[in-house]
Amino acid sequence: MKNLIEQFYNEGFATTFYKKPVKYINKKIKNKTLVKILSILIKVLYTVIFIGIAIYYLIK
Amino acid sequence: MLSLIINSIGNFYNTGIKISNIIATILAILVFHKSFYFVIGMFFTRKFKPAKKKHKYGILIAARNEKYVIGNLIDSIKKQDYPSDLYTIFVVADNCTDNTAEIARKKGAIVYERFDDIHKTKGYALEFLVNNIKKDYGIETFEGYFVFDADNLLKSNYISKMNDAFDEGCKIITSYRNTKNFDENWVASTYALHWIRSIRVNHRARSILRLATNIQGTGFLFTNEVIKNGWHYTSLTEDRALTADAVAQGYQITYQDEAEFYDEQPTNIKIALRQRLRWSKGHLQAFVESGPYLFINIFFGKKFLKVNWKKGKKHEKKKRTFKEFMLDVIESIRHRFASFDTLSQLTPISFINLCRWLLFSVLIYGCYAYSNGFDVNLFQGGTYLAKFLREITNIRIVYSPGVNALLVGMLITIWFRILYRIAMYFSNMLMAIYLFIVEDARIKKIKFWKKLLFIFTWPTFDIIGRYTTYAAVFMNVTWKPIPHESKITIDDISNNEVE
Repeated sequence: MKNLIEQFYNEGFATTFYKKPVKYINKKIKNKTLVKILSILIKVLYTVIFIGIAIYYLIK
Repeated sequence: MLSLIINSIGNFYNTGIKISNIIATILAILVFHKSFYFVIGMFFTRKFKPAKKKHKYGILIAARNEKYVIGNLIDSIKKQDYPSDLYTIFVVADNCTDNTAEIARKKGAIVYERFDDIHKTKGYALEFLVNNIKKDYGIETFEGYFVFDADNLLKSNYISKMNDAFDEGCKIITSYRNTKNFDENWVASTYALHWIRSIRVNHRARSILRLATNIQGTGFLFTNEVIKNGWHYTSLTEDRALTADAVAQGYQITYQDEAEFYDEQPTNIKIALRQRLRWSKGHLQAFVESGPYLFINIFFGKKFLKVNWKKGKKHEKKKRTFKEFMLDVIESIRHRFASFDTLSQLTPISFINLCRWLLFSVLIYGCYAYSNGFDVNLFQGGTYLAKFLREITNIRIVYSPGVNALLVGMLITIWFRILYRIAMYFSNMLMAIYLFIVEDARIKKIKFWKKLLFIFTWPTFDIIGRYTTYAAVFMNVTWKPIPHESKITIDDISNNEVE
């Protein structure tokens, strides 16, 4: 299970829609607290959107 | 008299629609599980732990007039981070009229030359090679065998990664098929995207679920027990036949995502059509030969087998614990589902659908229109395109009963089909966009405008596949070699990745 969660946040869509944006804000924003908050926000958004897309695809 | 016949057929329309819907439902059941595969493959693949033991392998390469590429493949094998004493390269120079054999020998491969103008498929070449290995070395000298085409190139960790999966007990393993010449032209790009789609839509999910994915011609490894009694797959698509037999016997066919190799794709549409026709014919042959066995397997397990690779192995009968009993039940369900899955992949759904459409939508509907006339919207259909066109227009076609209604009724159903296919063409482009996003790290760096072009041309791959399937039903297809002339080496690919 741990392995699958790791894959969910590291490969495929995660590269473009989670890892790249996090990398970008890490580079551009100096405030560490803000970076942490934004990273969590991106992670939550990525999780919700892509689980939503998967469920939508299956229901459709 | 003719009018009476047409009226009788037309009267069958309502029942016909019901029969057509039943057939459509059965076909939908055959592919329903693919949605789950798609979602699983979107995010997950099976991973393997580093192997505890390095196993000994034989590498089988069938080559026919491959002087431009065979050397590069052997070089890429020699650059593996795997002990060279644990693998042996065997090449069968099959009906070669060039110096393929000489090049392979110089590079250190063991070469067998074969000349046979009657038995020409790759399967026959592999059969000859396996027989010679059996005679000169013994099949069990090697624990597993890789199969490659001469135009392949392997990443330096390919054998190590495949060994990781083999060491975990996987008996048949396939790998990541990338493309040497992805951006050479649109024909090559459609093939390249097709292989990646297979990985995302089939291999990854089946591997996670411990089912059996399909072997695709090259870049796979199997345990020596598969060829203990020789290689018997000599049809036009030996990979399909091997897959079907493996699944029927309960073998899992695993996919190792981390083992990557490169393949050269056809760039010429004429050659591509020839190859696709051969695939379609081989596909149909595999369906006819193995389909009934797979169908029986779904209901009776492994009771009826076409071949048995484990024949002669003694099974000790002992009392099972409850846990073992439950594991056997799960294995039985897994095997039956894998049989169903492979059968669904072999079933020529596009051809069945064509027949269904011609009979119910064209012929019977035409006759129905002859008796009753019709009143339809020009843009009828359930696709987004049809709905959109209906929103902006309201063109109706009305015909009262008669010969004109029969002819126009038939034509209008053909138009609906074309409209449906146009809509499908555009929605299929989404698959290419998806693949370019999720496989960005592995797809060769391609200019943006080329990506757009390839997204636009990608749906032609399935269109060609559909028509070659129709043609293959009626045509006699023979095996012809696919020329490979790419001079790309594994170093060129590695350098490109670094850049």
